[in-house]
Amino acid sequence: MKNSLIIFYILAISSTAFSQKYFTKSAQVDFYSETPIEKIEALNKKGTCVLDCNSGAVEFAVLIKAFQFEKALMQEHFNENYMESNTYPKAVFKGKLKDFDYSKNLNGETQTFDVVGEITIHGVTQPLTTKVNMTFSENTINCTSSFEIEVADFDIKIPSVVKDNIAKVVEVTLNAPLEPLQ
Amino acid sequence: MKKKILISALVLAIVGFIYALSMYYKPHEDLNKSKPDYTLTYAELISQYDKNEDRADSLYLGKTVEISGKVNNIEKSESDATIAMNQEGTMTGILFEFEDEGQLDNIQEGQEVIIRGKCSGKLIDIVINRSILIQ
Repeated sequence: MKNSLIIFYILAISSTAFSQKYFTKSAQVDFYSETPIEKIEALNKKGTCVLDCNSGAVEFAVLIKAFQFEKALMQEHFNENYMESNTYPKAVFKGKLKDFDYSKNLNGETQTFDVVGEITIHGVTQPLTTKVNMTFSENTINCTSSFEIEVADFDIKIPSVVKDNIAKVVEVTLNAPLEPLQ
Repeated sequence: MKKKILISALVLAIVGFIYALSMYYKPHEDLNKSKPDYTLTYAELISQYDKNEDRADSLYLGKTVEISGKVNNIEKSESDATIAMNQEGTMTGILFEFEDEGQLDNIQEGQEVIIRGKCSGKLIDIVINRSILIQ
């Protein structure tokens, strides 16, 4: 992916007159894989997320190398062998919230929305539909979401030697405290 | 003769096992000890990423970089310790993520620092992980 998709996206949607955009550079993404042999967990604290409140369009991106693992060897394998992060440095989700009406005053409320879109991991794009919980306060929209990723769907090759160490389906949890984009 | 072979095989197996264990539990690279692959100013890094992100990635992605510059902003939360460096005229900044938040205790905004870490690439900002304060 050449240029920052997000900058382009922000500029593209900046042209709308009264659009309110919410944004963060410190979204947390956690992924978890559990098998009888091993538990693998990694945390990324530098995800970016942009939400256009008028259209409900949302975009989320993470740098693969920013995922931190407890075990150095696991982080190495993750980057070099599975995700090939030198070739595919980012994972991106582009989608839209369903039935998101920002004109309603949602201050103090928590609501769940369906979000439909596409996720690109390891250079492979797949459709992704999930739910996001959004808590609205004075100046923040706190978003949380969980979904599953089937490793094989993204052409990620796990060597047979370790195939029982890594789950076929990985749980991803995200947490994005969005603030108004100045 | 058979006994000797058996013992050698056993020793080899144990050595192999210890090696595998040491790899499995090996610690993350101590950046205090490793020499940086690249030393540059924050302005240089930002400008290279702005000019050609792919080329900058081919140089810096996954490598140890040592960056000098002025602290624009410090973020300390219960889960995060980050220093930001920004440049006028571009949205691109650098975010340095620290594993040890104690390193940020004596840092002030506006201070000139040198930070060493691993370059993870660029989203809006260039992200440097496992950062340590050199100066």
